[in-house]
Amino acid sequence: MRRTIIVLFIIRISIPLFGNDYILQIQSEYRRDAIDFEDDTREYYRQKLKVCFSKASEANAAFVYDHNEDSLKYTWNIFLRDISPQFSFFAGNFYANFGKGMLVGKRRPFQRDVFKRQGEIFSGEPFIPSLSGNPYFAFHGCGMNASHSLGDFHLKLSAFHSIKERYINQQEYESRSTSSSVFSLDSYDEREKNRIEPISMHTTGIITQLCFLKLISFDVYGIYNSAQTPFGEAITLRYGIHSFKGIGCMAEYHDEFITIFSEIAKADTQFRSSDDVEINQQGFATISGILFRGAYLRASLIYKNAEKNFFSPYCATIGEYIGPGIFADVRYNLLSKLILGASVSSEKKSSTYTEKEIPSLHKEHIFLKYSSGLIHEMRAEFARIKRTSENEERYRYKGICSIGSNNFFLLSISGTTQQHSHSNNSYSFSAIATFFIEKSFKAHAMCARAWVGENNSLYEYFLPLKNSNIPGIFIRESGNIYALKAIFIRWGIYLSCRMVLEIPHVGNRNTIFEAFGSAQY
Amino acid sequence: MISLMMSIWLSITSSAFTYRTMHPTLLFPYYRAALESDTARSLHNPAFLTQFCTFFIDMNYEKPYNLKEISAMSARAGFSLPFCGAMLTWNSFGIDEYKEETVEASFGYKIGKYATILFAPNISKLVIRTDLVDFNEYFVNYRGGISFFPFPLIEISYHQENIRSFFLKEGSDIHYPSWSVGIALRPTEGFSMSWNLNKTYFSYINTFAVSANLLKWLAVSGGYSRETSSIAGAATLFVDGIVVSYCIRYHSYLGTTHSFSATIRYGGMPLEEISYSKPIKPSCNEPINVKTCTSEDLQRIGIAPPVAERIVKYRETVGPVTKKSLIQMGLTPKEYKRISHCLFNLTNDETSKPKNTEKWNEQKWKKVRISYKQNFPFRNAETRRLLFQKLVHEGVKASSALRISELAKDLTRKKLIETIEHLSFLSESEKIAARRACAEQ
Repeated sequence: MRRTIIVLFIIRISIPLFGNDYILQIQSEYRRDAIDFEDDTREYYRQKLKVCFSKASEANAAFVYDHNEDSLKYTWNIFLRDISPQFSFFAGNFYANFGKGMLVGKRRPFQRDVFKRQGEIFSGEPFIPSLSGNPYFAFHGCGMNASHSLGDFHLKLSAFHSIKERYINQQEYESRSTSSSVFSLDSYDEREKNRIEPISMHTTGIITQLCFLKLISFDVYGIYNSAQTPFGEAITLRYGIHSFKGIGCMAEYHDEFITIFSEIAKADTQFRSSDDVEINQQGFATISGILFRGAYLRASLIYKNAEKNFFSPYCATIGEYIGPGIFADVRYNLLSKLILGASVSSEKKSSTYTEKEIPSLHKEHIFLKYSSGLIHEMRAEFARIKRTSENEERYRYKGICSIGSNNFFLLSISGTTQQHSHSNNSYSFSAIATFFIEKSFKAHAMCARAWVGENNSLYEYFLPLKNSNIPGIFIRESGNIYALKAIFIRWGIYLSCRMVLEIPHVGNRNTIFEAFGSAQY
Repeated sequence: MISLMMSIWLSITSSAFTYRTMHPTLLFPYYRAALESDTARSLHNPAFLTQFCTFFIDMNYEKPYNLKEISAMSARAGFSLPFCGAMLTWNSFGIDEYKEETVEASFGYKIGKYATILFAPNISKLVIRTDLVDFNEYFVNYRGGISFFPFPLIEISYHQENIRSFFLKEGSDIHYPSWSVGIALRPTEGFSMSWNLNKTYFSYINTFAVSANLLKWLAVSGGYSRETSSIAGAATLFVDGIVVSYCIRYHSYLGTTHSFSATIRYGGMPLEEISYSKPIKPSCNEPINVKTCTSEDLQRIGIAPPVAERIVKYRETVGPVTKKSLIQMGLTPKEYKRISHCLFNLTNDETSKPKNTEKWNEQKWKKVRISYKQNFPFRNAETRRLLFQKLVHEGVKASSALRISELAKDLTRKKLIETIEHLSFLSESEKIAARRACAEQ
């Protein structure tokens, strides 16, 4: 609270100094959600501050107070993208994305809805500021972009170096070997009881992008990662991983209607055994796809594959497994107001030496959507998931009907049936009423009733707040759920809050309260 | 407690004078040859002050690694002329049992556009008073450096510390002849990066640093020292002649160091702000007529909004826009060169000014004298232009002269002189000059 007052005071007094060219944004929120890419939710309070020096240059800071762990974490960064047409610079906490993310990718929030697809293909700048306040998944360091145009050719060179200080225990430090992996080490960013010895994770990445006529691009990139003591001695991580390096290249054709890409990446992991023998393990991964964007038809087909020896700690791309997978989507406007969509995905984990049966995952999703006049949305959907590892199969049928006007009153009714191969069916029924009290204020009220079969929990959305990472809630017990949400938007201020009350037939009540506010000067 | 701290400290710095009390913008406690920020450069080598012709006093306090008993402080005073600068520095570091004090006079000289040299003799005092050791001695030594600027973008520098120890082995274990070589790159205005390699008593140290002048009054810098695993960040605020700096430095084992500094400058030191979103050479599909253009037209070719508005106001209040007036209104010569091909109908400076200056002065003031007889002598655009030129000639800032010329339009001479007394944007010397310009007949 004290920090909020100080930040607001500083902003208030600094507005005249900034003048008209600058934008200041402040955001405060209290949520029960994932902070960024974790798969579990936690109760936290977060503050964000953003200062835009120009249209493209900005500085960000975010603080997160985690109630579960009673810890305060922060991220910061400064991105100077338009200080020169040929040069840009950034420092602080950031994410990197090279190509389509086979080697280094921008993560997406964890998708808890098992019927929906995990991960996505990312297309954008190679470096993205981290705004979450959680330093675990982000790089910490600095980097730059230098570009040069020669006629129709445009060459861009980007590089970064990240140093993340983490802590291990004394025995591990003395043996120069830790049982932590790259991921688990990320969470030890403060000195704890046993973990008192500092080590640093060094990551260096470089990407060259050559673009012709803004249509054809060719990217070549590389990354190197290692851990070392403050005195430069190498630290061996879990499974004896000593260092990791990888290279890759991607070719892409991109115009208004079609995108075709193909990428190949090679990962090279160096292991060091207890008797100091070094072993190199190499593996290849590929991803290719075609995306079509027409006026009536949108379709995409993506195929990826990775060898069993392929390992990249920063891989983040489409799909749940790193192994072979195919992903197809189609969306067709049958009539101007009637849309038919379908998506299918099938993927398999890379074969390993330990697992006899390789897990595979199949997902299917079909929907039909209609909207016209007072019928705001009418939607029917079917989804199926089959996971061989647990020998389970689930089906979900869902129907939604929203009637009303977008600026007066909206009533939405939905029903869901979910079948599970090993348990009883689950059902849910919900109604949402939305009141538009003024242009700047609207309120939602929702009530739902659910009948849940054993081990067949339903994943439903109860008026999630803006920018939620995990927007839905798992209903594990039969019962009633009530939710209220209010939104106020005026004078550059956005305020919203929601309350969810879950009353199960058996067990304790569960109450969730969340609030979000942002202001822009 | 103190003996424990001393043992820790001496184990870290077995060579004395290894830890230097540095200005926050210098980031790390050792001399680096090539520096990124202008503030740091001028405090390292007074030759870099020559472009500003300034006098300054600086006070610096530091808490090394948050150790309670140890503090470090320094004070500096310096001045510069167009070709050389000088600075006197006092440094103190330590605790009662172990103390280092240094007084240094540094001289910098600018050799043309392409090089600067530094020479700095210093006298140091080392006092160690413990139950086992009683040591109190003075040392004399020198440091020097040279920087080359083969291109405007690049600086290559070499710095040698303790030159005397370099030749005489005596005392070199205390005053180790460490050196540094570095390169600084300035890819764009207000932004720079540096890499330095230092040879110290212990090892080689690679240091990487960047500096960005985010706003006209705010500069930030950050650096990483690879071999010492230290990260440092600094912020500097510029409020007229006062400069306030803060640095935080983090070391994996030793902890955090906070450093504060306040500098008072006479003559100012303008910060070269990053010019966001400005193309190096804007494309001009339609060249702009300076006699009719709007402020938005000027902003479109990369002129900052306040300057663009000032130019339009100048045209409306004072008269035809010339190259000289554009620079007076706030464009730098570099900026003018960048946008000049986008402008047309600029009035030639030469044609607007008679060759014989005395005659010209006589002519212009004749007009003023005629209008003086009237109640509102500056209602006429011509007389306002002459007033503006006279104000600038007397040493009033062009932006202030423009505002006075604008005010003059509806005021009598007497009222104008009275109003000048209450103008907050004028300094006392400017007020005197402005009164003189308005009163002159």
